Amino acid sequence: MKRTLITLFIFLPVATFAYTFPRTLTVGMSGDDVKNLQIILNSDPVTAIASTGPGSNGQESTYFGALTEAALEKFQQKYAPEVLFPAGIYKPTGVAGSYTRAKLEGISSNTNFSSIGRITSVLPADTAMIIPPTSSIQAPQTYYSSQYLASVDFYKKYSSGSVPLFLTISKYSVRHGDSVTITGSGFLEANTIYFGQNYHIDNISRIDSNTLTFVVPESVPNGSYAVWVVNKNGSTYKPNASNFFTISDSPADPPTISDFYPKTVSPTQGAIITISGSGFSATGNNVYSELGTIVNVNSDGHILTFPLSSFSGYLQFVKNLKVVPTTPIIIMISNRNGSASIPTPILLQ
Amino acid sequence: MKISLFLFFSILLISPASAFAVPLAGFPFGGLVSVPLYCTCSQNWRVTYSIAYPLLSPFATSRSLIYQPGETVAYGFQQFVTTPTPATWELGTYAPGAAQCLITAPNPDDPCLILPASGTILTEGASFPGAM
Repeated sequence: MKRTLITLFIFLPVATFAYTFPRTLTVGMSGDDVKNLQIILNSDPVTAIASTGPGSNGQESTYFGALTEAALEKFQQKYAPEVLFPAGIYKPTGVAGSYTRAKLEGISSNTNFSSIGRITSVLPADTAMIIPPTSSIQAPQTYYSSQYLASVDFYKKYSSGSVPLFLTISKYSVRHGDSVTITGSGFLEANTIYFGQNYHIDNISRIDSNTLTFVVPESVPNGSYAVWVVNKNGSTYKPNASNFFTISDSPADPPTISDFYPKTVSPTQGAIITISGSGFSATGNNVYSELGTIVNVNSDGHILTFPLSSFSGYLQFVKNLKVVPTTPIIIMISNRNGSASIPTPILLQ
Repeated sequence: MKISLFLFFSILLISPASAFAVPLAGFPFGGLVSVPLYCTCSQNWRVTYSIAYPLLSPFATSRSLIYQPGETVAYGFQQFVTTPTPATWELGTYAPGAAQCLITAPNPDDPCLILPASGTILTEGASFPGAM
């Protein structure tokens, strides 16, 4: 009879329910919701509060202290695209706000809580977002505007040990196996490169704090992606970036310029500039010079033409010719496949 | 008093704007500033110099160098202006080699675009703008 009762107890189903966090949680707070937060954090070794002793699995408390905060930051970093990026935040906060609580609640629905509130089993772990788990999480830093991030002072000041900065990429249209270089700053020994929200490659070593090189992996399917870099100091994610990086079996060639005409031009003649080369897009070619920018110029792929007067700064430069009678200007063509500049400047006189 | 003021402004004019010593390396350059382009992403300047005007006009050649705020040491009137000024004659030294002017893409959240330059200006002194 005793053996029968024990057997029945073992096979009694445990209650399963998704826990709903009623409030935002932060350091210094107490309550059963804090304890449930700790239980969920301890369900994953990556986000565990402690391996032994107070705060470890089975020794959770109702108090939100420094250990819980650190574990929550690890949780936020692991699930950053779901809990931080939508809020425009790029560093873990250690505060369980609405997005973080939603993710915690989602995980709790995959977790069996026993009738006494302890986790007795966990379904297959969510494998999204791999951030080097052995690195310590630094204190949250202020998020800087894109203009400030682009400043050279910021570049130098934060050339090591601070929020990563993504400045340039060597190729925009690639195939699997191609080597690509990213320049910027703040790159560490271990970095993760994201291709959109669904694909990433981990443990990318830096060449130096300003340079990363990676090989386009087979694990990222053909397609167009925004690309950003994440490490323990932060992320270069930009919410409005276009899908500027394209992987395909037949990548498009970047633009190249073989010749241009005229070499010397008088503004009073209403010059039409003709650039010949290859890799020009049918639409979406942008032309840059000291005179300004012309966007979305069409091409047949080999010839690109535009009137010099289309540049926004054209009239000012015509005035400048009175004091600088010969003005050399550079022309750069860019499209989604890359960019190229004319080899010698056009002379305005 | 007048002598003191004269000495003060003379010393001010010939003193470099930056506190560090003038580097010994670098190639000399000189020319007329024709086009300064502000590099919106790297926040430096790509300055184009007409280096053979007017003797070889219309075959005047040019060189584009990077003016790096905070690193380029400015002398003379250049230390009183914050940006390179067209029609200014300049002399100085530069470090040759690949230098980059990064400009913001049409979508500012996309990677920056690169305009090439011949080198980075180490030291430069300028005439009063417009003096020809």
